[in-house]
Amino acid sequence: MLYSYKWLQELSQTKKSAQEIAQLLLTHSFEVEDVKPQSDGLEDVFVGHVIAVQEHPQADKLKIATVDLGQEKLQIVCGAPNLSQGQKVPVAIVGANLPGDFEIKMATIRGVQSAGMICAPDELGLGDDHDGIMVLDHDATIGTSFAKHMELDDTILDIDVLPNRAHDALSHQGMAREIAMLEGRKVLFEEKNLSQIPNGIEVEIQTPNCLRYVGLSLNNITIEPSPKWLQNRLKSLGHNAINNVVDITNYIMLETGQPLHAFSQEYASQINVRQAKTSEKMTLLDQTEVTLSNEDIVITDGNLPIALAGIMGGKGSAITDTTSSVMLEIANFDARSVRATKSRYGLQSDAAYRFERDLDPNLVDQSLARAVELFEQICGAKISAITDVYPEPIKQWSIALPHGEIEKLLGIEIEHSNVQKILHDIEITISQKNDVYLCHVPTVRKDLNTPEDLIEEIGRIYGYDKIHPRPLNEIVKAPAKNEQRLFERTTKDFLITQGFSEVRSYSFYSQDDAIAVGSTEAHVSLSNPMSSQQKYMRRTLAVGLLQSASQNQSYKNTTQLFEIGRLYIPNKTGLPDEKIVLGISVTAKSDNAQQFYVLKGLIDKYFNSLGIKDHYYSEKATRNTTSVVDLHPSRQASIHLQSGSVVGSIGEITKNTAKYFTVKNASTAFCELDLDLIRHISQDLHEFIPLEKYPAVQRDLSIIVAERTRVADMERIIASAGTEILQKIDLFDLYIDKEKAERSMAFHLSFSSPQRTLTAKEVDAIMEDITSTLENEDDIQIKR
Amino acid sequence: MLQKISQLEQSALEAIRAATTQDELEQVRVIYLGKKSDFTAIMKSLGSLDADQKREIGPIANAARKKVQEKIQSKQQELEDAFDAQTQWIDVTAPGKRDNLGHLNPLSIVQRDIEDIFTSMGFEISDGPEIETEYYNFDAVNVPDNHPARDMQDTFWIDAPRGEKHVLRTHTSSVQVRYMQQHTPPYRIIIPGRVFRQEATDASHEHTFHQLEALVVGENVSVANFLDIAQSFFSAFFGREIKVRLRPSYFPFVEPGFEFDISCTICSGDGCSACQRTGWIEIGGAGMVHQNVLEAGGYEKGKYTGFAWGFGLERLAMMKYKIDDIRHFHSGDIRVSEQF
Repeated sequence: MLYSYKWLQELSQTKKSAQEIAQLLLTHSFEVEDVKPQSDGLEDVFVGHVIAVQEHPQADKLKIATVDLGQEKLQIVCGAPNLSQGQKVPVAIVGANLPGDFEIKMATIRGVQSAGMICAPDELGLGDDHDGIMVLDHDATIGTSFAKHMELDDTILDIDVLPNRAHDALSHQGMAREIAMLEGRKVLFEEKNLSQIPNGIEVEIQTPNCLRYVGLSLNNITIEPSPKWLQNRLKSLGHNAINNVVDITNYIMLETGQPLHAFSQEYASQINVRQAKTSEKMTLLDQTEVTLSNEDIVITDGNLPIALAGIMGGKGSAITDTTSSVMLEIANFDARSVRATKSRYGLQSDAAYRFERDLDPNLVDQSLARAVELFEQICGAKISAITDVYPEPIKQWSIALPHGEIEKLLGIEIEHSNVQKILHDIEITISQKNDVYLCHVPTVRKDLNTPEDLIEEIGRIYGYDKIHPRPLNEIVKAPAKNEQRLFERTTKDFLITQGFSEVRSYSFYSQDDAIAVGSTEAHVSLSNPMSSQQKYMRRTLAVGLLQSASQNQSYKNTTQLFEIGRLYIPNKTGLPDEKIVLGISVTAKSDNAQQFYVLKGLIDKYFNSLGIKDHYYSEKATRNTTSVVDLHPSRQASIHLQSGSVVGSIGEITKNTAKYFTVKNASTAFCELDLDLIRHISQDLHEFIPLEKYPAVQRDLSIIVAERTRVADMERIIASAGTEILQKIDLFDLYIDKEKAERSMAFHLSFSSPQRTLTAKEVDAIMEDITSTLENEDDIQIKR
Repeated sequence: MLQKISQLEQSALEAIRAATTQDELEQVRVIYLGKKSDFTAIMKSLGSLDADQKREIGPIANAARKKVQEKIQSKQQELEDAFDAQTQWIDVTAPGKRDNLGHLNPLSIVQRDIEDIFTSMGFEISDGPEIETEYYNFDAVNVPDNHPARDMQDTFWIDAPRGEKHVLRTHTSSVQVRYMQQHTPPYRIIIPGRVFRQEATDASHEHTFHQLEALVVGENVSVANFLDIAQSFFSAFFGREIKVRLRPSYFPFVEPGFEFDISCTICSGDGCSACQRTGWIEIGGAGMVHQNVLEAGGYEKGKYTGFAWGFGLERLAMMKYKIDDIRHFHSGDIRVSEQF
């Protein structure tokens, strides 16, 4: 909220400067976002006298003004339609830096020199009026500072009052009370005895959501603009000046925190506050028509709604230029109800902002006193009747605060006398019993309900800077390891040594993205995404990796990327499953299947580094919860663990997918692995295998097979014929002869036994078995 | 005889010096040390001398021969080196053979740093779901429905036709009550993780970012303890002594609640442009865990106290590495990670 320094000064009697107040509040109470003198940016704006106006020779809409600033006369080119000789106007001279960082320079406009600018209100930071230049009073003194002439000598503080202090501090009185309290003083706001005003308005409350309703009948009113000082004050705090009646209500709200609403009395001679009826309709001040729910509170004239309680008045009962009698409402409504209604219709108003923050019904009294005073003073109003309906007056409540709790929570010892003084300063009355303070809380401090709430008050007022660090009493124990994070770390470290870089992408993508990677699976979706591009919660890391691959194409011929992140898999009931997966991509400008093998080799190496052996690949990626991407039909595989369970998929991204993500003239291999599953498997693996005692015997084997014969099948035949002494089969050469439609494969075979040294003769015999088994198969020749 | 030896030695050394190729040197060796050389003749002739002469001349002759031998050897080495240098030149400025190295996202590096420091102080690393129930994200941490505190965090809601409402967690505080329900104090944990806010992005705002929450619960845990842990942590992280300053603030899940600043990591509090001359840099929020939250966690009201505090990982990474735009972290541009 914006606060006027001068107003706070009047109310709190502080001697401190605006900056000092800001510092004081920052240390003990509130964040102060900004401290801004009203004259900021107006230092080089002066009152000028337009002594001559000539036509511009080159432009119809421009005029050349000669302006007298006292010390000098300036020639200024001006386009404002309302410019005329004899006016007093605000003139920004060359070098001025107007609000909004607008610098005035010497200029030549269509061949005519212009030495400054005659300003419109918006150019001076005074509202948004840009219809013409601002014309000043005729008696303004030529050459005086514009800010001084306008009495712009206040400083505006933007103070961030959070919901906990909104009950008591969203007002100048509340803030002044806080400032005085911090300076060790108390301020009292005058209360008026209104008992002589007759009780005359018919007010009935028919809902528990209206906690108090005061109606005040004001007669003898002439609607006109309010006095300058009032207008200026409202404008300086970001409010428009409307007319005397409305301006006074806004002024009192800014002063006391209590919203008020003025009805034309003729439409509000009788007041009935009730829940709205379902489907009841009304048109609000801002022209919105709302169809009400029975959860809304309305003010009615005994029959139809004339205001949406606590939020906005109705159009029909509003103050007009001809209003002469006013029904002033000073009331209190249930915060939750106001908030629900406000959200339901998307309405915003100063009143709603305050009511939803739960105001004290006793705040009405102060505002009432001010209302009577100001309406009499400014409008010459005659107060003819008042009715106050307050079914259950709110009384002070008590909190028991044991002294020992203060040190326990803050970690600093504060003497009894200090505690008592602080509590006293915030207007809490104490009765002390042994070491317990029984605190009686003023009703405006709705935020104080528990001993901790009071300890916070004591701490911040005493000064948090007085608290010194203290080590925890509890001894440090070795924390449980977070295996998952450690595993992610190991995995990332492995991947970067292999030349893969980490990316992090958003958790959401668009429906089109999902379709582009071939996923038709159900996705968790957001009801209020930033845009439709970010509606779906991801079920694959492919989208992020491909976007990144596309983006990096201009810097790199080959991009090798990975991401570790969560996928969100919808559930029928309860929260979605979140799976931690590793996605890897290799994009390179070549059209063969190299990327696939680079990636496959990487996975094998990764598994090897984790001690995972005997994993294998099978054609056709299995679609499951973590594999939802459509891959190249004959360049894809499922990755299985020894147990057969699928741990992920690998394959080439299809041309269509690549095209969608504009990964151009390149092909991309992609894999997605279930990181949790890999972690669990790799943890069980570490058992030492005794070293081989006897030397191994090596033999090579070359075969020629049909073009589409799979390496895995050959290895299987060799392994079974090779008996248990064949320990290792290593493919070291693979060649395809397209013309002959043949493939040749060459293997290193390694034989050994844990019991003895093998003889050449027995290895030869086994080799013989292997070759004859192979030869018995169709289409296999042994190369000798 | 002695003179002859001396002359021979001189001329041999001269010849060695003059040799410019390995062949020439070999000729010199044959002439002076070969079977038919003068040295060989002298050595042979020693046998015919009497004992005294032999004792006098023998060692001198031997020494001279040895010296020539050594000179030849060292000259030999010298000529070989010169030859290799001539014929086996390589360009040492040509690039070495290197495999590409990958890079971590700077957030990962910062997160590791932070996790390691906290682990060394006895903190366990915990986490919870990113899609969270309305209850754990809000109600359990004392942010009831229909309370203006809900407006303090712009929330992404999940499409759900019926049943319990779900959100993208707006803070890692959503993990607090989940953890409490499974554990009994005392404990100290950190929760680093991805969080989401439904707000427009610019150089200092992202809808997706990472928070780190630290939670300590026990008997008699105080604000003073928080200051101690926070100062230790930030001092370790920035590698210099850091002070923590508390300012009153409000977060519904704590009471008392603070914003906290750290002394400027550039000027140590003297005032510079990085801290806008205040000497302090705003870092995060903190406070003593609200008794309502502890109660939601299943603890008897008043039995335990604790503190919770949090800050953005991106913010720390931006400070540490002087990164100018928060959007770099999730941009997918590898020119960002390649610098790390």
